[in-house]
Amino acid sequence: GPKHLFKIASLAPDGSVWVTQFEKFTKEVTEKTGGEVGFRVYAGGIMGDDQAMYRKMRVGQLHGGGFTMTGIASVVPDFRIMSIPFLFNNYQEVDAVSEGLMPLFQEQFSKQGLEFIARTEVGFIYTMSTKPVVSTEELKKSTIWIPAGDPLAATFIDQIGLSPVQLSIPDVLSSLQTGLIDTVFNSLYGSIVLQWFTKAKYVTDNPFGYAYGVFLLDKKKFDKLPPKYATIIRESAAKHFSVLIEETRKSNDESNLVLKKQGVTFVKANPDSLRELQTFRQKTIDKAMGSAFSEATYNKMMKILDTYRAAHKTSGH
Amino acid sequence: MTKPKRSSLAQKGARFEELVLCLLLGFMIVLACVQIALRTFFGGGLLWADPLLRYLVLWSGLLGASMATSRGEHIALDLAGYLLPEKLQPLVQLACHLFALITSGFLTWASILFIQSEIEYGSPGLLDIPTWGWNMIFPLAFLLITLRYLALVFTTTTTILQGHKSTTGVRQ
Amino acid sequence: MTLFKIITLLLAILGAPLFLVISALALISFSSVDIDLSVVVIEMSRLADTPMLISLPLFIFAGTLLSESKAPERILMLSRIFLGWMPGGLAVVSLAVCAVFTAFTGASGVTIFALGGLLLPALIKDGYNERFSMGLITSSGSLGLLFPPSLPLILYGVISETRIDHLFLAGILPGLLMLVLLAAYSMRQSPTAPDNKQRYSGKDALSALRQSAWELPLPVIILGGIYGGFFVAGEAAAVTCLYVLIVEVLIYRDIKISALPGIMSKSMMLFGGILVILAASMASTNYLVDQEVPMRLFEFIREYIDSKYTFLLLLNIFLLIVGAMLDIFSALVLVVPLILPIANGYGVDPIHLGIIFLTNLQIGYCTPPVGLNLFLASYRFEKPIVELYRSTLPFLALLLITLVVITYFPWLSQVLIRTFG
Ligand code: NA
Ligand code: NA
Repeated sequence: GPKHLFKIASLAPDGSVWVTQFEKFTKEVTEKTGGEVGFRVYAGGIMGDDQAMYRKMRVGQLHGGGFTMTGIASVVPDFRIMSIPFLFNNYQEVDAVSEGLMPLFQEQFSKQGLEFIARTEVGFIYTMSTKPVVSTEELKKSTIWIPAGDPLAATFIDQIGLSPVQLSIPDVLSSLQTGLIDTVFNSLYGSIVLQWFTKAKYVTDNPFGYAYGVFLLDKKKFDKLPPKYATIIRESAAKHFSVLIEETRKSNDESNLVLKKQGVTFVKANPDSLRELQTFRQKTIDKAMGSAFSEATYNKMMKILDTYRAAHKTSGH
Repeated sequence: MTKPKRSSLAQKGARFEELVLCLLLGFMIVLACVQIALRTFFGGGLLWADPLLRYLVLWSGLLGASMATSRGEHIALDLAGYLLPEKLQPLVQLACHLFALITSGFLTWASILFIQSEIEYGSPGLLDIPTWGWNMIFPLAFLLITLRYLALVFTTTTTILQGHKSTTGVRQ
Repeated sequence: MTLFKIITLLLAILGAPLFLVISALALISFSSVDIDLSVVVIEMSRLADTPMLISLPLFIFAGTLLSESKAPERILMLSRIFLGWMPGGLAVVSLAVCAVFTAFTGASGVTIFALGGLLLPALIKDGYNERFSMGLITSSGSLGLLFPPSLPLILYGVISETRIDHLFLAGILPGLLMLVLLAAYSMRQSPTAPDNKQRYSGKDALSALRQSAWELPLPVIILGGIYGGFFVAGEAAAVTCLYVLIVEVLIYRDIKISALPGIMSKSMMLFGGILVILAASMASTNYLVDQEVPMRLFEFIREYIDSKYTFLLLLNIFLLIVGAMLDIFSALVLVVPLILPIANGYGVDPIHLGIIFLTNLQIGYCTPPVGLNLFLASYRFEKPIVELYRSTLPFLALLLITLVVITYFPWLSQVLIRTFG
């Protein structure tokens, strides 16, 4: 077997774009290191959710993982900063901010013994429900899911005056099916991969947030690698994970059509309700700052975003 | 003289455990029903109720398991009764109890390692109680189980040494 | 390391608690590949993320309450009045009552203990021969396993992460098939001259109905609540618990309030016994996942078996052996995680697989030499176990026929889901 074996887990299912592209990355690394660096992938959550994966990394059963933002932000709270609702207008803004904050994220993860290899993407997220949801009133009437351990989402939902049900991602589908919840949030491709669209057949066609993740390796193990191997991993990651982000975006684009063919209905949000919801963004930021994320990181991010917008002559909401 | 005498401390402990179990189960039923009522009639439940119920299930189950230990009610194959002559049975029982003592001791040790790691790296969990607090039931329950097997090893050894037939193990 | 494992397995046969046997195997295995032992507890702690788990302790408590009350007598009386008139009436009554009772209490031997003592003398008095009567009760002791809200059904849902409300639906027709086959056989075996049959008047019927008026709605509350969309399976357990508590303690007053703490801690001990086995198997399963055993096992099996039907046949034989050796809870938690991905590879639907599993394990309860029901019945009726082997054989044969039907006609377990799910 390989001299340096990395056991990697992820919630992403086998056959999804995340796992397929990740396997291309591992294949290249193994080839370029002459088989010295190998990977074993545990996909589809068979090693547990993000929290279990992180615990297993700490004790050395796992050496890395593809984490979701909500799952790993309990370790590095500032990492959730990009999930503020109604923050980005397009993927260019996302990329600008992500690139600008990368050194900060790398440093913060490194302090926790985690090597930040690459950002992964879920995409812009939409409201999906078993019935059409176009107004704040209808939103208030539905039973909403929020991810377990996401204080930012909880604060936002709380500001609107909704009482959600907190579940971890693997439990969402069955809860949709049994009727414990009727309204969920995901990217279009995400709802296909996780089969949520089979129940949540109405998509409100106004993205309100951005979901993402990160590929981390155990820092101790990574630092033990001969420098040339570490460089190979970094270079291959830079190449394959930017392809992964492109592929994810392409999948999300294509999902629009796939979903429509599957009988999913896209509805437009009522403009007044949309404006009303956007007013909750600032309230959420004020409330969550200092606990859910730090003020310094928020200011840094807004500076990057404003600079980008000034250069590209667009404005925020 | 052949009956193992339980100290009053152990008895009090068992009574306390029974009380805690009843309270946990009662609270679980009430909280689950309140949550249904809130959801059905008021359109939304308590955000913390479902995760709290899941922890209560864990706590009550592990405490229940610890109680089941001293009453010899754990699920076992127990073919010894059909395979071995009666004379050998106390010895087999001692071997089983010793094995149980060692294994539950290791489980306690593993739980302590887990809790240490949670204290160092864990995050605030449900209701702002750190995750290690919610998981304390693991070292607690496994420690109780270990102590109970220690007592069982002790009583079985005494019985064997006294040359009596075992009277402690009326098992199903 | 191998030596430790052999010692552990030997002690397992000699009666060491199974949860510690499984834990020890996990601890030994992880340490043999230099993985920190705390992984065992990390894996156990994942139980706190299992939303459906709560229905186990709650249904166990409700079942224990029912079995400690006079509900068995009331249900028996009612069935005798309404079913007793037909040929083989009492035998059919026994089957039906055992099935309902097992569904609510789990096949933990309660059925044989609580109902066996009432049914056996009644059957013999009605002219059934003793061997037939004992066989009937022994094999009925696990008959309701496929009916909601049976605990093994819920446990399978928890382990396989399949929908419990679908499992509840899936079990109904296969369970009824068993019931009908056994009932038909019992009718054939019924005494020819039922002259001592008791007659009941309309007044008796009304009074029996009135007496069990509070218990009759229970299946409706559970099934109607879930499939009417009022609540999910976990909530159904809480509602059932509260309802049974009110009915048996406050309305019928079968159970004194002072007896409640004892019943509560008894239920929690029962649940605890299952939970620690589940926890231990989480750890041992994780070791197998870590070493990619299910994947390799699948690749190995696929080399020799191409057809889904051959796979199912071998699976049945394997499960019958497992079912005869292990208790149903250990069998479920140990074998399901291993078989599920393989069955998936052969295109077997997980819900259908669950019904196959439970049917096999149910049959295992009365399979010689070590089926649990045989021991319980031998203890309860004070008969040598070999005599019970003989008396259950015809019933065993019938159950095996239903197993074949259930395995090769997935329609039976899927049609209700398509209609109501
Ligand atoms: Na498992
Ligand atoms: Na069995």
